[in-house]
Amino acid sequence: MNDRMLTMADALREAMGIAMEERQEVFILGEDIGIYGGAFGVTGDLYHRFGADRVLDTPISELGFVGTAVGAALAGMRPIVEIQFSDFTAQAMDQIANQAAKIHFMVGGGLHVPLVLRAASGSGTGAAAQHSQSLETWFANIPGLKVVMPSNPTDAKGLLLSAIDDPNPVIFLEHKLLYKIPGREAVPEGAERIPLGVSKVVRPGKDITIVATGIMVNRCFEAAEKLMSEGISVELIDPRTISPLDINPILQSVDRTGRLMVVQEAPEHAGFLNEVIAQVTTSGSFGSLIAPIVRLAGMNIPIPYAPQLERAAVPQIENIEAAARAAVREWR
Amino acid sequence: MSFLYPVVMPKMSMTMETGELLVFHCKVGDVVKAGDVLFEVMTDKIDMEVESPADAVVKELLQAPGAVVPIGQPVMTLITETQVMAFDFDGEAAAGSIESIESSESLVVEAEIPVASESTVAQDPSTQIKAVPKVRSIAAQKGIDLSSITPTGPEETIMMADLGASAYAHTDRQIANRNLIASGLAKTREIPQASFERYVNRTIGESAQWHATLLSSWANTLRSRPDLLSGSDIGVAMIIRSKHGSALPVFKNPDLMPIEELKSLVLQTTELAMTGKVPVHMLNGATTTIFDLTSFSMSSPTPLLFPTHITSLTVGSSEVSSSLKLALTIDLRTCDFYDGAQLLEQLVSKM
Repeated sequence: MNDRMLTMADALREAMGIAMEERQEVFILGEDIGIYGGAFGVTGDLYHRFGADRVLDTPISELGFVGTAVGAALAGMRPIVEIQFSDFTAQAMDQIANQAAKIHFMVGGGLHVPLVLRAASGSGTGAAAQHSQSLETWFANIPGLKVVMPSNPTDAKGLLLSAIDDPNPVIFLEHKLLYKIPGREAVPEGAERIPLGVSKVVRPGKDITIVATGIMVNRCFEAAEKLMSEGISVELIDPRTISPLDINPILQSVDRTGRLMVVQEAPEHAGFLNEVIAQVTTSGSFGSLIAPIVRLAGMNIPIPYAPQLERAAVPQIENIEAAARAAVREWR
Repeated sequence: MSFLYPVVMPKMSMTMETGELLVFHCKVGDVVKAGDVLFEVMTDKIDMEVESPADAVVKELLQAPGAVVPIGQPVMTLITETQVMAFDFDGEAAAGSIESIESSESLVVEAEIPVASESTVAQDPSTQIKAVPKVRSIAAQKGIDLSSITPTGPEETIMMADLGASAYAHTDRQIANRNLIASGLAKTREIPQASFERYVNRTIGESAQWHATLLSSWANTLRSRPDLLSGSDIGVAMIIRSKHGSALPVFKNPDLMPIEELKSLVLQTTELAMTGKVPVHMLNGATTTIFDLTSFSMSSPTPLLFPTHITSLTVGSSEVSSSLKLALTIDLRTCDFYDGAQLLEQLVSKM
């Protein structure tokens, strides 16, 4: 059992290995993913297992290799692109947003683009402003892209397998800090898929609903454990896929708790979680609210290099704990 | 010429004496069209939307949401150019018993008020009260006046804890409602009355056709006895199943309408009742009642005779054969045994 307490990097590697065994069309390409095993060690030994034809080290040109992947996908392959830092997707945004996302629609469904684009995301590693962003809202605002944000190894494995199965482009955003952390549960061994577009109630509770994405799910879980000892019961929901968004479990939860807090690392302004708030307040669940909705998100600044400032720029466990406590204590 | 038209609390079910005003769908100064929903009313067994009887401008809202308003008492006023059909409304009678309301004269209050200058009146002060959404929805449901609640939440916002016991007031209210129904029924039981039954060999057939026939025959029967009528108009209230419970729309002089026209009115009214929208003008002016229980394949041994109605007809199915059971209940203070027997005999022969 204990040997299945994989890190997210292990789980992702396992999923890619399974997919490559299942289908000849699956191959991986990106910078330093072959012999070196990936900047964060995600591809690891896959180069040695599947060979240089299926684990391709590319030149440092996102525009070039994402374009290659889109073309390969159109031609019937199932490429998995690794982008070393999600910030670099900017280099390939035309290939992603204008090409991959739209081709299926512009030819009346006659073509598919079964592309998975995995990208290392988020702050906390001292990598400064150009290597620390959380860009999910960029992608979530483009129809034709699915956007996945796993928060733990088990989900990462099951969701990546579904992403590879998907006939059209999926953006898979992996938080750097989660790569080396084992999850709270053992990762199943098989090739079981977790469907895209299904929210997960991570922790049932009755006083406040917290919706969090990516690494914030983990921080909220820690905060919830602490709050439980004070008699505050948190229901934590991880949408897992932000596009499409499975809003119903969130609405049902708000109907029960009457309080909603949303937590994301990305900057607050125009962030994805505002969409969650909008969907709640424009639904019948509005009448269930017994407290103002709480937003906890990154500051509207580039991620600072100084470690103290980097930490202060995004929600931490203590911020989540304090905000949830205030929402429950002040609004009875 | 403009008319000042009071929209009163309609009588929507047989035992209704008061209705709770749930929510207004208009505000002072609004221009409404005939058929627009003006407000919603809740009673013990039916929630219904009350519609504007004519194109009009909202002049005044006389009650606050949550108020329990006796039937016939004005809820709001409209100013209209159209001479709308008035329903029972009388200032004095409003506070009185069922009897006085039921027997009161219809009236239209005429007024010469310029419409334009009325549309800029102050807004509802309750919009300035801060309350969390759940408090508002509970207040609307339970008829809690938010201005009576002391806010203790941040920024003087009423939060759930401030509602205290009033959030649970519905249990008391439900008890009160049951008492209301019971006292209404007790009133009908105080009337010295007699019932006669006759079996008729007749199949019902298509429902609207059957109801049109029943309405027309019964009104026609009553018209032959002007001594038993309180006026020249006959209003037959007929119980119709609605999505919220039962509705009791009144068909005015059905015997004077071509049967096809009556049939389509029955169809239309049945459809409206299913969506909870019986027109306001059809909710008053009853002089007799028909309870048709044939769709339930049963009959009832406890007919309901409303005060001021001299007669009440119950139609039921017989358990043993395919025949119908017609039961006529009469108020013995106005109507003799022989009159009753004769009426039933006449009705049977007309059918």
